[in-house]
Amino acid sequence: MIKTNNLKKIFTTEEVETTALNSVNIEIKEKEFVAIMGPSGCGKSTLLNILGLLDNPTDGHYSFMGQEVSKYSERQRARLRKANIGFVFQSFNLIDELTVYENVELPLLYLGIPSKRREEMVNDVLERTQIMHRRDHFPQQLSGGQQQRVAVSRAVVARPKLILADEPTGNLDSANGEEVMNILTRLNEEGTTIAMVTHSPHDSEYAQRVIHLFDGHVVTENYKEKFHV
Amino acid sequence: MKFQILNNFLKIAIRNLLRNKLFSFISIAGFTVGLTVFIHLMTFVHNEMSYDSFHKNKDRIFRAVIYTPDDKEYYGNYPVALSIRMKESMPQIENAVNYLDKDLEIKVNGEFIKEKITFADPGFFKMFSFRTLAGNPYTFGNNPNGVFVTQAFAEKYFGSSNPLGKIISTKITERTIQKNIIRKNPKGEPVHSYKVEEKSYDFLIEGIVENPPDNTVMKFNVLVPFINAEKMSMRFNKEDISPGEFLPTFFVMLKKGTDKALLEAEFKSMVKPLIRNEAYKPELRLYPIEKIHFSTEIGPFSSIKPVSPLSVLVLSIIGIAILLIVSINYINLTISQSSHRFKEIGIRKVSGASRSEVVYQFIWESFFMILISMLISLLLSVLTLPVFNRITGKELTFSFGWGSIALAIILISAALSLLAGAYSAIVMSGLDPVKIFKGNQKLSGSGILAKIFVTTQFVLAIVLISGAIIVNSQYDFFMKADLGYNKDNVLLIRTNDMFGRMISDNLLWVYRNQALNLPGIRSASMSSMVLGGNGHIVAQLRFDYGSKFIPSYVINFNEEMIPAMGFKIIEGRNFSSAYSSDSLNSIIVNEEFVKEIGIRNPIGKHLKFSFINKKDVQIVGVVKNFHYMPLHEKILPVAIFKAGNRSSNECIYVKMSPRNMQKTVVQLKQTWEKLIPGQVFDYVFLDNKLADLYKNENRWKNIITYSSAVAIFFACMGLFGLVFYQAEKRTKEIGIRKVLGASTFSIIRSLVNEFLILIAIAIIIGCSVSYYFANKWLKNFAYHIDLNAWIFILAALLVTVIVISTILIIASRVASTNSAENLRYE
Repeated sequence: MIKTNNLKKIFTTEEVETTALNSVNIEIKEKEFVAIMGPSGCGKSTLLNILGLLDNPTDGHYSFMGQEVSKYSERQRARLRKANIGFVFQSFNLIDELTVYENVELPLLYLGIPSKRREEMVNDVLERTQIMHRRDHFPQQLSGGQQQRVAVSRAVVARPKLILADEPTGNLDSANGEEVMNILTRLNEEGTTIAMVTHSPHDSEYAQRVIHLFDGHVVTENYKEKFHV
Repeated sequence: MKFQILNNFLKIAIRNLLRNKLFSFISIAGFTVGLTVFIHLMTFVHNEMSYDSFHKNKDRIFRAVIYTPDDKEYYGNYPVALSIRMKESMPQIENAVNYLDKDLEIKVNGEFIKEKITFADPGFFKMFSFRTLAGNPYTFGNNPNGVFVTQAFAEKYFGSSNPLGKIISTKITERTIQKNIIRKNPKGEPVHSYKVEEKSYDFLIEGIVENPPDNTVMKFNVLVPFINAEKMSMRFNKEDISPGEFLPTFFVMLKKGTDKALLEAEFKSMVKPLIRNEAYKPELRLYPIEKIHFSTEIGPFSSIKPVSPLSVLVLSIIGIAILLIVSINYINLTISQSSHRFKEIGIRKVSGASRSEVVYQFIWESFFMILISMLISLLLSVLTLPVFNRITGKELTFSFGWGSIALAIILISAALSLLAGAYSAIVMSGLDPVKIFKGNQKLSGSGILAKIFVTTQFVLAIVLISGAIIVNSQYDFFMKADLGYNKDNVLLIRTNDMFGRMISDNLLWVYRNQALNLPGIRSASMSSMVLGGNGHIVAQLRFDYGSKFIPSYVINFNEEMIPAMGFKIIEGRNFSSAYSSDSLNSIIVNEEFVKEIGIRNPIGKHLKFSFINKKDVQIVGVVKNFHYMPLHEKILPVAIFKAGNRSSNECIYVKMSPRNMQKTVVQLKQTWEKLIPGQVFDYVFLDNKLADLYKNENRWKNIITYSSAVAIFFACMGLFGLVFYQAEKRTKEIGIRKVLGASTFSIIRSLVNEFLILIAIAIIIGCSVSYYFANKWLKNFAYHIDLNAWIFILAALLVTVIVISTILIIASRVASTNSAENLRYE
């Protein structure tokens, strides 16, 4: 599903050039659950943004679902993104002015799905993340764990092939974190590919493979013995 | 765009509006007030632009105007000799109407009052689309004594009772030249003898007309068949053309498909046999009826008073400027508030929104808000229209159909939301979700566009402020100009009228002498000159000096007039009873007259007065130039004869002591009514009458001041917001500077410097624009203020002071705050 070849990302300000990623070659197969780890500033988030088609690499190749996308325009990336990728953030990133239902519905609106079908899809995902009872509340009325469940619901409601999670448990206590990781695992088991940036060794346990980044380089890739049922 | 998404946008828009109440209030209030003023101005402009566009046959109706190529003048009053011949010999003319306004004394319900009477030919209602409420408009004129009155007139005099069949009578003094009686004056020269008869005419009200709308040049009260104009002593010359006559306006309606240029060409051969003077080469110009209102080149003896199209242009520009200012304010406000919405934009983008979808969202939000403002402002502008009408002295109404209102609302809202929403939409949609989520998204708000916005506002503020100063000073100039005489505490009593009443001069002198004995009366002078009569001064006549001839206005003063009214004799002497020749052939002339003759020592010089058989006259004095006409008009040569017992005295100028003036007026009235019963005591305070001449300028001044005040208020609000935003943005920088030891003063200076260059650019542009328009406007007046540098300096200074004081308030607040606090949140 994902294959990068000598991926490079350089941030240029007026005087300083910072190399965030250097010759990154990774491959993520369909239905895989991959964790990306590394110290602060090693380029994890940059990599995730490029993989999520939010950003273009400075150099190198990136093939997403068999398409070479490294030179795509913003419009092309947006089109590919909305049908295939869901995002989960550390800080939840819910729109405060929209209710739970409306937040989750958002990606479906941009996909132009008719309202009846939307309602089914949103209700379905809210049931599965067990937040249905909070359907008409606003984000500020929810706990952190509940907010993250809403964020996950929004990420998966359009049934994307790939979920990118940037430290999804970073702002949660362990019980809530556990619950979010369980949801992600369940989604993976249902066939969704997941790439997750994390600091937490505990969370990385849920993944089948861990990619370690350091100063913009891939240093190791550990496969874990984990079996699909 | 799918409805669902719009619905989502709407939801967000409403919730954002409710969340950020101050922002919403400022934005909506700004647009609402701005749009209200805009609607008022546009109603005014629409009214001006739509003059006489309601006539069904407007494309075929023209006003006939005489153009004389040698002096490039257009004469709107049309010789009857010509209109008769045109009707006879031009088959292309389907309908022709002579139209003439006259203030006459009429008797309604047993009471004499002065009213404007309009004489018009029978085809009037076939040509113009005035609606009648009663009576058959097509029979107007069949009965020469049948008249039509307006609803307003009917209500004024008959209240709720039916006016149809009621009688209006007028009283006219008729003067007929007695051709067989030749009198001789003391010098043995023949003079005309008149038969003076007072006649009364009764008119029968046969129809009621809906009040003429504000947007017509024909604002009549009573329509009388034109044939009466002639009966009532307005003798029209039917044989040839003599310039300077008091003449009607002439309208023609051409047959369908007629080329007016052909008619204008045909006119040349038709007019030839009517001209006595070879040098006089009149041409015909046909003015489409819709253009008459703006035809300022037609003058000066026209009863229709056109206005300059410049006013419409300037008001449109002010209206648009106001919208521009509130839009710029909205843009700045949105941008400065936008950081609250970064997260939402980021989320929308990662949830699949394309950039254009984000753009749509923000434009839609602006549209929604502007629509709300628009609806409120519609209501507000209807409610405040009476106030605007009072300011403008107009009677504007909203007479647009619902369809066009809806269309205008949508179009204006759409245009405004593009104007106001597009910039922030583009800026916001370009935000990078990666940066947003990292928390280091910054707005590129200090870009070139933001600078253009600021400068535009400065420019508009300077133009409007200087414009308001100029218009107000010009009006002030009108009110305070040295007219060459003293207009204060003067009561002007209209006695006789060239075409109206004719009270015997003996009787007037008796009245004048009795008036002089009343307490509180300082003087009572007789004259044929009606000051403040808006161009109504006796026609120009000719004096010959050697081979030169001087066209001059001829008036008469009695000997008191000059000292009593404060006219200044600068050479020679005033009339005096000590010189018996004064009543025969002495004249006093104005400076302009002397300039026209071109001699050094005019006193004692003899001229021939062409009007009365080349009578010999002698200049005995020179009076300082005085404004007998409004200050729009240049002063021309004037010759003054001594008013004697046999001259036509049109006015008595009564100078009163300023105390108990009302009481004095009552006494004057009582004296009049005792001595001259049955004649209206027709009086006016001279200063009021003169102020009336500048009604147009007064209205103009009020509109400009009103709209400028609104615009300036919003521009200042915008400036305040902008400076505030700039200072806020630099809070961190200021904190660092302070930590590094910068003084508060140096920080303020750096903020001021940032704006100073923009102000400088704005001053140059603003002053040039304002100078250009002011110069054009002032050219309408023969006498006007000079465009002094101080006007522009004042405007520039005002704007600079507003900006700098705003900066000082904000900067001192920012600069004196604890810098550690500013930096802590980094």
